[in-house]
Amino acid sequence: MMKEIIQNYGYLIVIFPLLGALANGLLGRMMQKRYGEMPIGIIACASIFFSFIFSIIAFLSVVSMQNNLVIINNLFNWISIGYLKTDISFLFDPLSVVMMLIITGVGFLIHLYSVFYMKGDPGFYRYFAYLNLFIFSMLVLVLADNMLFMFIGWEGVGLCSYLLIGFWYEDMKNAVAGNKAFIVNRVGDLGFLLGIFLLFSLLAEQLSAGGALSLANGNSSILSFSFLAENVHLLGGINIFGMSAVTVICLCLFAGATGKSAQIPLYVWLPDAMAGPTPVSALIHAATMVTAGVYMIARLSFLFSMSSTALGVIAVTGAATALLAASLGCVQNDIKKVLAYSTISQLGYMFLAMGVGAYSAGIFHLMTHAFFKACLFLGAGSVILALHHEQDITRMGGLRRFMPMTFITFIIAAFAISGLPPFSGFFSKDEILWSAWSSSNGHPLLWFAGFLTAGMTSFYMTRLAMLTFFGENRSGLIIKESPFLVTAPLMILAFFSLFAGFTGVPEALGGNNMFSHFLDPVFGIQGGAAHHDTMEYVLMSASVLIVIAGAGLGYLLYGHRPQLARILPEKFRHLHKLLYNKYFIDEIYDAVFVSGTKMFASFISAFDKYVIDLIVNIFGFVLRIEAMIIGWFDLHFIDKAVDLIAEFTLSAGSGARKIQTGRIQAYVMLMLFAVTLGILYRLIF
Amino acid sequence: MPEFIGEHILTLIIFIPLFGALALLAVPGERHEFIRRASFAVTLVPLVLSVFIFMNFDRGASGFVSGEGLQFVEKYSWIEQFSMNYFVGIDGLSVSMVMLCALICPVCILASWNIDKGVKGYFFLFLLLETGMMGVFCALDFFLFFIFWEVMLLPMYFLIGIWGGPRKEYAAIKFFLYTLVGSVMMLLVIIYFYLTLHTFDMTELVASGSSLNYRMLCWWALFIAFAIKIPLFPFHTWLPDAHVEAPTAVSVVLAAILLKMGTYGILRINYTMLPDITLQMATAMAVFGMINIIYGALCAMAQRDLKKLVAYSSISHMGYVMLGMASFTAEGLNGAVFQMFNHGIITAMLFLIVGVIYDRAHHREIDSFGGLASAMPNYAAVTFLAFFAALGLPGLNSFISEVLVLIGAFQKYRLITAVSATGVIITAAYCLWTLQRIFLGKLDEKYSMLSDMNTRETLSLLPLALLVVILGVYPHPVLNLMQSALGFINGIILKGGI
Repeated sequence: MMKEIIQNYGYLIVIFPLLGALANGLLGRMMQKRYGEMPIGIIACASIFFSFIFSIIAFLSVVSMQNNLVIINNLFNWISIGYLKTDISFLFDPLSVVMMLIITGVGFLIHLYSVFYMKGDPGFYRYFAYLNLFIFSMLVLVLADNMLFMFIGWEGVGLCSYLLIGFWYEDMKNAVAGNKAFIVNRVGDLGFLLGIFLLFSLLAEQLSAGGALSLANGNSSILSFSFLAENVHLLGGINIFGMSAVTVICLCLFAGATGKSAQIPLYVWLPDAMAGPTPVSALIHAATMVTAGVYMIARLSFLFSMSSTALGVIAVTGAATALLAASLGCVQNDIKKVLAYSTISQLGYMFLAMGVGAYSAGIFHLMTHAFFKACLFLGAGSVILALHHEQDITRMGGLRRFMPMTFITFIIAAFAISGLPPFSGFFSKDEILWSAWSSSNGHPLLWFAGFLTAGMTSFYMTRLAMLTFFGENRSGLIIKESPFLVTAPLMILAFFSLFAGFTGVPEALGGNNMFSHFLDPVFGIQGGAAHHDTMEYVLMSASVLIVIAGAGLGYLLYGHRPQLARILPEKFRHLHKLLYNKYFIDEIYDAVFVSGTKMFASFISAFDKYVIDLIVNIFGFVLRIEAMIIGWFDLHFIDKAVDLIAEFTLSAGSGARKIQTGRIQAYVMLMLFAVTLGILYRLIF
Repeated sequence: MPEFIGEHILTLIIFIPLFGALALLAVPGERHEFIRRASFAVTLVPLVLSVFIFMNFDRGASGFVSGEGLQFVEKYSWIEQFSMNYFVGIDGLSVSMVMLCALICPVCILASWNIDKGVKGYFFLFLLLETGMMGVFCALDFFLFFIFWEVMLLPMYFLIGIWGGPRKEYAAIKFFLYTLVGSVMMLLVIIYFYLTLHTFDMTELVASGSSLNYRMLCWWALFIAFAIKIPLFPFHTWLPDAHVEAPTAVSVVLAAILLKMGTYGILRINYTMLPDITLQMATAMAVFGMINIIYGALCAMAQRDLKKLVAYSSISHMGYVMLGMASFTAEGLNGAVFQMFNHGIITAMLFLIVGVIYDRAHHREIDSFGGLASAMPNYAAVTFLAFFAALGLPGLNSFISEVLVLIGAFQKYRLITAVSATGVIITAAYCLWTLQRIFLGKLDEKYSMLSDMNTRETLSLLPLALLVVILGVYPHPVLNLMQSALGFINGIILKGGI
């Protein structure tokens, strides 16, 4: 029964937020003016809530299925030209329903929270229209059953992040941050597009050559995931540009993922994305957008698994990003910036997981991260509101006494991100670290990078918590706890940050790793036999130890002996400067790419104006000169000739006029003369 | 009556604007409002008739023979001694262009409402222009095609030269001479074709084109004639000047329809009459497309004048058409013609948008604006939509055409297409940068009194905006029209003849 609902009406999950966005986008200004913020908030939250209810139905119907675990809701044909057949159709399988639940669940809480957070903003309606559109785009991204339809969601989240980061557009800084996010993402999108093109053209070649393609359910839509899953093995032997085609495709697609999911080298937009309202950051970092790249690789795991080179690149990029971002997180003073770098770092973990083929571990971490990161950001938002938009943690302190609920939930989430057992982050992070060590694509160095990152994470989270919630109140403000509309989402998210990990307790700890088994059908079942290894316990203890060590160091520097925290940056001035300025990567990118492109554009434009157009104008000039010469010739020769003839006629006339004397005698004389001449002529000839 | 309309629908579409124009001459010149309304009413007739065509067009038919691929055909003998015929008809290639033209013209009349100098002359010329444009897309007799081609040129020259900006004479002459050079080259080829094959009938020319000599020369003469119109690098410099000087509505027509005649001409003439040369020159055309995409986008990025920026963006977007055409795949060709249609709509929006702000601020310097979103929220919303359509946002119409073009071209030219695809980044950069400089940031005091779009402006932009969204989600209404005709043309090329 439930399966039929989803099969026929699954699209409603996507439609509700779209309707909400349309209603608020088109009528919101009028509603806000006439009826206030209430109806806008209700429309926005209700649309996500309905979507959430449907997501639960979809989840239950996928769970209740015996085999196959795939439901497809086909709406209509979108493009059908040549080999390119693309439907607007939605794919419900374990992977997409998990994503859907996270997006709508966490998204709904963020919507609720935003109603209070954005109270009194003149752009209230606009905000919620964008927010609904964001959820819509993300749902399209995860539910699309083919790559081109997925690309609508893929660019859609880019658009929404652009609109929301630059939401307070009157400050040019925010607008620039929005631009940066979109353009950096576009760079990645180019890779994604090229990946799609390559995949398509190679498979279309196979199709036109009558290759042995198996059409799943008679579906010949090349870019649909079912078709790809059945047929990518045909690309195995093909080489292009001297590399295996599959590797090139995977690297192109991964370039797209580095844009969306803020990995090296395209991570630079995410820290700036803090310019948007804080709940937006929560949405971008937890439920939507940055998880897109991870999801895409998981969705195409069958393709990525074919290229160990590509997987290696992904794993190394992930590990490097995790380390780099964690190092930057240690010195930032803006509460949101610290969290931003922590997101980049945690995403690095997820890519590390993807790179070592531990897809379900990556998705598991994606889920737990969604809970604790949303909780952290919303908690930060609560703090920022209480401090009248102060974001500098060096001017906070002692908030735990005034904001107990925010404090408790924040700490729970901080424990979770640090990976302290039994908080959710511990289970997911540990599974990744173990895979990085033990999987066939893994390497001890990859594990070590993740291990170091874990220590740094707990260090900077402790630092953040210490400076914000402990010690003296340095803000000089009277601080109140936020209202229930804010703390309720925090409590729910903290609850999941604490307990979500139990859905994936590894076999080594006596669990049954339910989460990963649920996803098994999507990724092809992975052997779990390696799991009773003493090494696993050793590594687990090591990572717990380094987490505690990091936290201890953080406490020592920022809780116990704050003066040390002031001395250390002085002592390592250059290192601190390097870290604080983010290795000057932004400046380098600005100088090389942004200014470079602009200069090149100016050059081309000048070329256009002074070379191409000059040729045209010279051509015109030459023609004019030619025309002048001809004109002169015309005036002085042709015209002169005409004039001469005219003159001759005139003078001849005036000469002849003299004959016209009016005297009869003269005429008779002339006549006689002429007659005589005539007679002579006859006589002679 | 309905039968009469059904049988002569193309003739009606072509000549009703002309009759309207002639009738306008009888109206006293100072009755401005009446002239505007009457012109608007006249342009609505082809629009209604084009809806009739849309409903009755046989989408499955293909071929280049009357009654099969060619529909709504009318053929009468005209000058028998030279076997010139009045021969009109449309196939899947031209039908979308006729519809685009019928849609854009009333929009342009709306955008011309504030012309108050020489009103009668302006609208007379405008209606004459519509006749010329419709004629070019419908003519199936090469000589008739040429006549309409010239008919369209003249009003354009006067519209720019009289109602244009400060450097209007320079721009008008430049436009005129450029296009005239093309016309002469085309005329020579037409005459040569006639002397060899003794016919101007395009269907016969297509059927017997293989017996022509000097094929390469003819191909290039025609190609350059059309390339000037597209315009392809390096024949493009008339375009920015013409756009900057032309009044808003003329820019709209110029970009939305006249540019399409270049690519239409290549597809209609070069592709079908000289298919073997076309196939040989495929890579050259793809390279031309690539250069246009990148070069146009970079030039657009460097502009300070909003109108010039939009003009260069047209060059960039027409590059996609060229690239798709050169691929000879179903995806690429359909993408190319769909891109012609989409670009017509989007660029029309962009030029209308430029007109709106120019009417208020009396300048177009991008850098001197800022924060206009606060003063003009509706205008900002439409502009954002138009620019995002221009940068190919998925879900909007140009995304589909650009992806079709790229996916089609990629099958043939991996490197050229990959380089062309970098255009999406440059395009995004200049579009967003423009939006940022005009709409975002703090609102300048002197612009705080600017009024939002009025009803007339909204009315001219709204239908286009709706099409941008609808065709992005559901492109079949337009794609269906062209598919079989383009399949046929592609067949001619790949088989090297009909």
